[in-house]
Amino acid sequence: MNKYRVAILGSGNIGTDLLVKVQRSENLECVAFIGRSRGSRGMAKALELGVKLSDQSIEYVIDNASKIDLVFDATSAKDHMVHAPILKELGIRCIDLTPAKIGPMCVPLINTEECMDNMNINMVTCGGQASIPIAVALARTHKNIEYIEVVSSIASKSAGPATRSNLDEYIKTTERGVKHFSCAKKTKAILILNPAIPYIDMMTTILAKINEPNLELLKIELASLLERVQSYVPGYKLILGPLFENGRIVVILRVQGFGDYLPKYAGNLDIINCAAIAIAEEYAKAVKNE
Amino acid sequence: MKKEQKKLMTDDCERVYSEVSGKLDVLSGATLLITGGSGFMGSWLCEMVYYMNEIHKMDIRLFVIARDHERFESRLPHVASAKNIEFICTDIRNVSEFPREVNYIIHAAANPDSRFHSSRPFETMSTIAEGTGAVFRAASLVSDLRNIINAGSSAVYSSEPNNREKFSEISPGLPLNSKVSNSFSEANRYSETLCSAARNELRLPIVTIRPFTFCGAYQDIDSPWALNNFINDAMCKRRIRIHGDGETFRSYMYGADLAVWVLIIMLHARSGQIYNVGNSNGFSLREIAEKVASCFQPAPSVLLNTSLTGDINQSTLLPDVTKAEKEFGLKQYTNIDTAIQKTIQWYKNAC
Amino acid sequence: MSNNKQKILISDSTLRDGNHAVLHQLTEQQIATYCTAANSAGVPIVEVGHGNGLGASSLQVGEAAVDDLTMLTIARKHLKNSRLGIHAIPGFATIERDLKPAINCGVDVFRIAAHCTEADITERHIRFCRMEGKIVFGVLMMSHMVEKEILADEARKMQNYGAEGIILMDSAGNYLPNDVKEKVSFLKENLKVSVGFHSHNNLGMGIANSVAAVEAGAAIIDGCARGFGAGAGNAQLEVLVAVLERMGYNLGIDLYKLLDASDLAERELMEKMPTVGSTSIVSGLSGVFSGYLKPVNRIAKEFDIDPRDLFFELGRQKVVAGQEDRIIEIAAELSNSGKN
Repeated sequence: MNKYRVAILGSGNIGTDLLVKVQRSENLECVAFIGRSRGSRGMAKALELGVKLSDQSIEYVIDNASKIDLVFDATSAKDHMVHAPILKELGIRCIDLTPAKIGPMCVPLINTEECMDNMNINMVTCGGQASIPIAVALARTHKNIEYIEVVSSIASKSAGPATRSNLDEYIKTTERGVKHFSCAKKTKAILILNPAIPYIDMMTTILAKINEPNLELLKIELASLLERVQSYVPGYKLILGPLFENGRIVVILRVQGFGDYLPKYAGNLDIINCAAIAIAEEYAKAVKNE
Repeated sequence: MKKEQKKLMTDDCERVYSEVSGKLDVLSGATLLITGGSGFMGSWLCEMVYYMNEIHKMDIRLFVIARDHERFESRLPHVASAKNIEFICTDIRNVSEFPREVNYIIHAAANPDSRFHSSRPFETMSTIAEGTGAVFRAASLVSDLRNIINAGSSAVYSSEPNNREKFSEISPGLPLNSKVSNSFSEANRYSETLCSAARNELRLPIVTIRPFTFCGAYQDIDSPWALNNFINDAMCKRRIRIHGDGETFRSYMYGADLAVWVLIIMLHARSGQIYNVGNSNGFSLREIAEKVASCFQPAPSVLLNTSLTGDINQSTLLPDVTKAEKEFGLKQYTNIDTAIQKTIQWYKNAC
Repeated sequence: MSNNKQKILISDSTLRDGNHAVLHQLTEQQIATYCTAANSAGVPIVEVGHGNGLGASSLQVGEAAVDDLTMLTIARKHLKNSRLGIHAIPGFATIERDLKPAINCGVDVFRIAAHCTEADITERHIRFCRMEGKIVFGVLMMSHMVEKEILADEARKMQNYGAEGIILMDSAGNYLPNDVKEKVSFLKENLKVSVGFHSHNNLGMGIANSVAAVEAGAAIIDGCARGFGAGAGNAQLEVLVAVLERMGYNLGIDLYKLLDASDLAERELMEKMPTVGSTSIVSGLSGVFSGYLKPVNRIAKEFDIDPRDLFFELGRQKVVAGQEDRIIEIAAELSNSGKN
């Protein structure tokens, strides 16, 4: 049976972790692991896994377009701006894991259908992936949500240089994502780095202001959404809530990583990769059903 | 690049080249490789080589290595598209081979921005230590290699507070300590020793230069140097603020001067030598601020002692460049006033 | 005599840290009144805003009664001579949404803060303010949590990004004077820029620690009228100024008018005077962010647990500023384990 052929562009930690996840998938096959240099640690890992390597970057995709159904772009926002039009021209689907945000935002199981119609989708942010399913549960059970706030704390060690220098972009994108999916009048995102050792798992708290909250209804909706998210992010757990406390709804989640290539405490990085794989699986199934 | 900027660049190269053309003849027909090609030093070297090829038909082949191709193309579009010039996009640490025809290598891949050293000390050390190692290993496979320039840093000197002396090549280095704040300095010191080791074991010809402070095109206006801050203040129509009493001393070598100094040292220096590169003619920050102010109409005022806490740090960072001047007949071709005017002109054109 | 002494810059946090003490409910009128009084006393810097700084008004750490820009606009109007300062933590505050408008409001002094091990998240924000020609200080919060060498490394980052001074915050009120001396003098030796200190009074050391900081070479000292601030409050500004004058420092502040301003603050700003309450002592001992006092008391009540247990557990789990959601989580855990 033919698997859906994916290529991973970018041989850093994110790309390498994706590779390990693709290797586990029944529907996906990694046909190329592509970077700029064969010397990187990611390349060594890919070689160990017996995956085809290339150091030709986007050039490899251009030369082998007919053999690739989907590209995961795990390079940088700047590089993705160059790759996106090329991939579009080649007619290759792209899941953008960079902060470039060219295509629509994707949260698996929430807007899979919209993603089917778009050749380039982006994965919002870690806080977005964690909180949007909850925000959607709020929106499905309540009309006219006044305000939703999303607070994520992550281990200082899991925040690399790109995260650290792009906190402002993280906040803006997360706020936009939560607003888009929940239609709340106002949204706010906060990110906190905690240096404690042992490293903390990612924690995301959703706080909301809602007139006449219906916690019972929310609990039922939440339970079903949680289960669906857990189907692709095993480390996604409800810790507390929904509570109505001090005039606000509180839901607290914790996200532990799967520990594929990235360490377990890096749930913030894992959840994005899990989401990207989940949507790629949907593409694969859609093709199989055609 | 805008037309005015290109004109400014051609004029600069012309003016400085004409002073030293005889010393650069040997470069005709040779092949040069520059790492860190999109940095300040790399960009000026590319401009100079481009100029020598375009105007003086010197037929120099140039390979440029840098991590970021787009940055190089947007900064130096004419160079990127020139026929004798080829771009190699890679992280210097991952280089395994160089084109076999290379005769000269200028290794200038280290980022001199102290803010980068602060945020990314590990990356800073790794790029310098592993990058320099990779360059030497790749260089040892080249057939007709004549010289390598290792662009180190003046950060290897021990800078005492309130020091007023100029640093010569034999000035004392940093005391041994493993503080993270020494990451950049230590990496450069390591790379200098690595040069000696590579000369000895790999039989490579290597010359180290220790660059000081510079000005001119291809420096971001928000670079953390006093001159850039002053120009930024003036361009934003603000008063020029000097934190202390203005008695800190700095000097600036102009980019075009730097380019010919590096090329001439590369062509004529003996392997194993070390040279300071910079301008020994220092000015107080007050004088520099006043020079900047005088380039603007109306001239902004210069405010001294703007620090709310009254702390004053007087320091001097000036090179003694007698060695290079004497051995190769080099001098400063662009005086400080011209250098400041041209730097300002560049930023104005960039707006 | 006093000419030989280091210049000391007093920064007044009454209208920022004090906002913690009233759940961020300071009104426009209160801000205007206090600014006028502080200005006439010649206070050099008056810091204004939500307790957690720009962009922090939220369900997580508390919603402010007045939005940031309104607060700053009013303060600016009433500060003719004093400089207007803000506190901003990247992760809460962004350049586009918060810093740019603050610049347009006429803020002079930007205090860009981070948890004491995370200085590199301030790079872009410090650089931005610096390029705008503003006075920028770097602030290391919860500085009791790490040793002096790490503080110096983090402080040096902020210095290299362009901060003109680095302020150590004893956000938990955990320091004793010897700790202050050790850390401040080490920073002073290792930095080119000035060092500052911001104390909390949980262990009754607000003034003593500020004096220790000055003796160790600090040049920027924060204080609040009547100590109006998070938890047990801060160094009491009018006492601080009197003590420093007695030590021979010329601060350029009119003591009588400052005393008037603090009387006014007591009358107009506070529901009650800050005291070193029992829970605050535990908060200081456990090394937890002082701003947690109000939510801890509220949540402990809701979950029917001892707030002191809650503080010690928060301290043991090394929570940092801004993690108010963990109070609920840990309270729920404690409550459950109590039931079992």
